[in-house]
Amino acid sequence: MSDPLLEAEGVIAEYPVGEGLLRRGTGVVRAVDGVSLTVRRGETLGIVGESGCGKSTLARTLLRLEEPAAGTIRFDGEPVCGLDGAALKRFRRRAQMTFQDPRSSFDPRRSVGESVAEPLRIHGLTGRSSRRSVVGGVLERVGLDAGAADRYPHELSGGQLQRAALARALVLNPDLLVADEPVSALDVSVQAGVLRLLEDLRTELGLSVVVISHDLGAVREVCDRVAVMYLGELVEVGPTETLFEDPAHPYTRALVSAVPSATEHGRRERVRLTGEVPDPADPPPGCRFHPRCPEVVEPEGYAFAEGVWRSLLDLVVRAEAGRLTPESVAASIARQRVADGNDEPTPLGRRPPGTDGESVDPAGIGPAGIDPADVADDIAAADVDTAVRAAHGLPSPLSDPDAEAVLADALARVADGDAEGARSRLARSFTTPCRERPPRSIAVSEGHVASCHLIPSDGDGDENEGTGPE
Amino acid sequence: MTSDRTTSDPLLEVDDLRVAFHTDAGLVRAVDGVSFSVGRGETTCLVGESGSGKSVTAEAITRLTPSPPGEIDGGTVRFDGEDVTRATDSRLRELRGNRIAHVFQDPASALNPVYTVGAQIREAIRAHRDVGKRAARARAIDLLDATGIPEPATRVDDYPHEFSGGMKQRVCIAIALACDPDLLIADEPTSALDATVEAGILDLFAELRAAFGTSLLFITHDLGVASRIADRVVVLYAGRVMESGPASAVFDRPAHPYTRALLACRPGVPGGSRPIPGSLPDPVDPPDGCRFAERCPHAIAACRDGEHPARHRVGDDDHHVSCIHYEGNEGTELGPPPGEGAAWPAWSTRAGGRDE
Repeated sequence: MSDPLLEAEGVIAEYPVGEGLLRRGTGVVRAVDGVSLTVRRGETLGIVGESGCGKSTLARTLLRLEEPAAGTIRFDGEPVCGLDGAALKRFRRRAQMTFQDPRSSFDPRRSVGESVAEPLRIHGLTGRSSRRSVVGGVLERVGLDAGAADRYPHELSGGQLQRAALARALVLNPDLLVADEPVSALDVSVQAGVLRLLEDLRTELGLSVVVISHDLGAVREVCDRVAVMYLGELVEVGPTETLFEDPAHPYTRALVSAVPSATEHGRRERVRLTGEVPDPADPPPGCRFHPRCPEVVEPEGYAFAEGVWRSLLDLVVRAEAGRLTPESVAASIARQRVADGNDEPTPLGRRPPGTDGESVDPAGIGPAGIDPADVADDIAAADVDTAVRAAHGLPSPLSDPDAEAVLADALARVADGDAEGARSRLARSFTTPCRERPPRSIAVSEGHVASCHLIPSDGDGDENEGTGPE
Repeated sequence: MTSDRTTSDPLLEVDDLRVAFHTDAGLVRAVDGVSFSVGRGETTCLVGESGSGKSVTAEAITRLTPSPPGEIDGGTVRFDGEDVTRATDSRLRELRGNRIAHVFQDPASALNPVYTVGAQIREAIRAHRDVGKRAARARAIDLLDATGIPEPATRVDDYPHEFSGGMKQRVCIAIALACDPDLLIADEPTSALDATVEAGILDLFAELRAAFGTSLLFITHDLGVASRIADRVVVLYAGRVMESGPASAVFDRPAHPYTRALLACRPGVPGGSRPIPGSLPDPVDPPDGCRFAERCPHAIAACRDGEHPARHRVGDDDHHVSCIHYEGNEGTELGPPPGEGAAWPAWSTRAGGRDE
């Protein structure tokens, strides 16, 4: 991996968040938090992740369309952040980008040819007369005919416009092309054509390409290496086939298993994630994926049955979020009473069999007509215990006597109205390395790194503490 | 089920449906003789590219087709034995949201930003049921719970912007379920969502179907999604049905060249995806014969003549294909395209990969 084209180290990108009409800054969201990665010459690198994970912000920051708050970016050995004037203009010429929606990235009142020629004009390359032939040539190169130059964006299909967008990015003969969601706005039947074009352009022009996408199928199709992002951090980077066939990070495993496949018809084994993507303004401590991770590391000193630890940790997460309170438990007890027929039943409709009181997450449900506050005064400790265990699918008692003692004590505190006491009891006793410290990036095999506590590290071989993979 | 019809009849039968739009360019027959059915408790998927007529078909079922410029100008839609195309407006209002409910693609625009989600669910309930506010609220909480919203008793008073995209779509599904519909029509309900969130919503549809026995008409352009949820699949192209049958048969033994091309063009398929050359025919002046002929590696001169090819049975089960190559060959399978050696590589190389 000698002399990469682009090298980023510890890149942080922040957005101010504000409240009220004036949007006065009240804090920052770190959309990208300490990302290090390289783009090698002539390779296609994919950056994947769910919406909101920061992948587009990372791409824009790498091209210095946004200023990083910290970190260094080197392009062809030269630091990008210090560039200005002619040097910056030269960098812009060598690093180009295409955007997700080709229709909104063209001026509807200009012909496609004018738009494609604009970079040439801005950079003062070629005279007016030769521009036309340059534009014609690049349009043909992306699979359009030269006559498309005289047409307007509304006359072209989405696939054709995406090709025109590629032509505009390539007209300056760049070394690096960043394509943000190149096919997600296109029909399936034309996606393959655009992906193949990207591949051809890379081999013929010797480009380095970065593909940003949430579509793992598209990424698998064209990328040599893939970087997986979660909540502003890289969790895994590796060669494409290795990453898809043998993912090392539980989040990558979940992503890969969520991709619907028409070739594997039928209900494939799929990793289910609990909860939602946390607020990037307030990321979880330790490994950012631990509140949803199905493989979260068990604490030492306890022996839990299959799945119990994940359920128990969900309860801890709930308590930490301040949602394990006498009121919330009273609400689910009230609901249980309705379901048991001790109160006026919920009107209307057939109740789905088997969903009464045991559906997805019944924590904190209070049917109207019963004020949870009324119930909160007269709930018995035993009721709290039963209701919370039922809501979280925890057996009574837990198979591990020490864990059972902690849980029983915490639930008794909830019944006493001491939510804070219950929280600290649970948080103190049930913790996990995943919550205590961020994982370091560890080499799984050559060129394949992942940040997860599950991966055994060989001593202290990796010195890159605190930064992402690579 | 208020009907005295036997439960073995399909819940929804669409027969020779035709929907046309009057445009400046001329008459566009967006749906041109589409027939299919949805059995009770069954999930049927309509699949096809944009412009295939799948959404227009879905809207025409409850006559949501905007008119003008749209017009349902032929065919019948029988819901539980009743011809919906002839129903009066007041009868339609009784059916919509009550026995037939829709879930749309973009949950952000389907919800009203200035009302709480609870208010919007209550509105859907009270449009059809004579219940008090309290009972409606209790039902709203139950529905949020059934659709997998954590802490529904609190969230019921939140506004749409306080929910993530996936959670908004769950709210939309809760609204659709408000009156326990017999048929749920979901038009690309997961296309705006991330893969992990999409997987959760597909699971939810499967759970709801098991719990409520709701029939589902699911519209998608994504064959991967269809393979995960469908019992039956109907493949549309340029307003016509190309192939239909049990999901297992259509995915394991796709018969129509178009279905095969759709399966082969998905990014990430083993061996690399193959784009479908060409583009949809001119909707104002579609070609004679098979509308896919222009892009089909199997096309012969006879494909471009006369009417849409007749339906032929493939295999043993209820699997049908509209393709001239199956004429007189019922029960057999179409081989690789003629001149396999020459046709497929040309079809799959860049030269053919333009999408003009």
